[in-house]
Amino acid sequence: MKLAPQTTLAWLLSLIFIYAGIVKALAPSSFYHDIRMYQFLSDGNAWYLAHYLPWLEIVVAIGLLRMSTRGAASIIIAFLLLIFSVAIASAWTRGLNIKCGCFGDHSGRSDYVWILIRDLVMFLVALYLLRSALVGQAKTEPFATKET
Amino acid sequence: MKYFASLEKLNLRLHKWRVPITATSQWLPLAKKAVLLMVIAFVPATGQLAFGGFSPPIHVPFGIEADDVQNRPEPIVWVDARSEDLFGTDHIPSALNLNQTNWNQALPRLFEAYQPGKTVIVYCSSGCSASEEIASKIRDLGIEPVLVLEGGFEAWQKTPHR
Repeated sequence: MKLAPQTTLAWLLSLIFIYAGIVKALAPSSFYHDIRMYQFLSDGNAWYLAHYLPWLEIVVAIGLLRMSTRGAASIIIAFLLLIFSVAIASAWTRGLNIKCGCFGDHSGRSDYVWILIRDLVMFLVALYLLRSALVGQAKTEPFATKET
Repeated sequence: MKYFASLEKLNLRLHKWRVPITATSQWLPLAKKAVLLMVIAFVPATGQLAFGGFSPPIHVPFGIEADDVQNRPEPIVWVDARSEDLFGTDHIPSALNLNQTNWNQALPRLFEAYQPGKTVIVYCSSGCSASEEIASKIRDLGIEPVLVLEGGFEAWQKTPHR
């Protein structure tokens, strides 16, 4: 069985996000620690984010697997990766030596260049998947017209 | 109207990039599904918060300034939470190296060094989180007080009492 490239990429990205989400959802306190070290948010907001973000990652990862939600999931993933990259770049410029918190407790001290490259690659994949989903949508809705 | 006009401009540009969207209405299902996915994620997150508590845990105080360490009258047990390599390069005299990697092996040394009345101060490098994590783990063992050295080893190096 030959899989379309967008399907393969969607599965790969989905596996990455499911793994990242699960390890963080299992240890929200540890992820909370990591978020606090960015020194962006108050303790309360960091605590809520530490509980919400892992589940969002899991939900959008599952969303990537379904054709009907792939476009929406790709948008969210692209947006998340953009935010992560800004946070990492900010930590880098502020001279912070922290864990990125990307994959829960297992991630070591951060190599910022590598993380930014990795995020950029995943961001491009998400954009490609978004475009593919839109192409699919256009094919199934050929008579969609301009809104006036 | 201005809002829709700019959306149409965006659509035209996307069309130029071969993104097959020509109608504003085609974005709406995507946006709706995206919002739906975000709302769905709230459900397990709220459940987990309900079990784990809606308030963040009380923290090890962010710690103590390097300048204030010398003003503390009680004896101090220094804990270096950095890697063994960094510890081997330089460390605070009498500090013991205790990190996530060597936790099981090095923990007995902490019990030897600590007695009630002493204060444990944990440090790592500037801007790292290892000292907080190790401080939390030490506190979980029932040892008090456990402080974190603000600014880490670098801050201690800059203090005149070195």
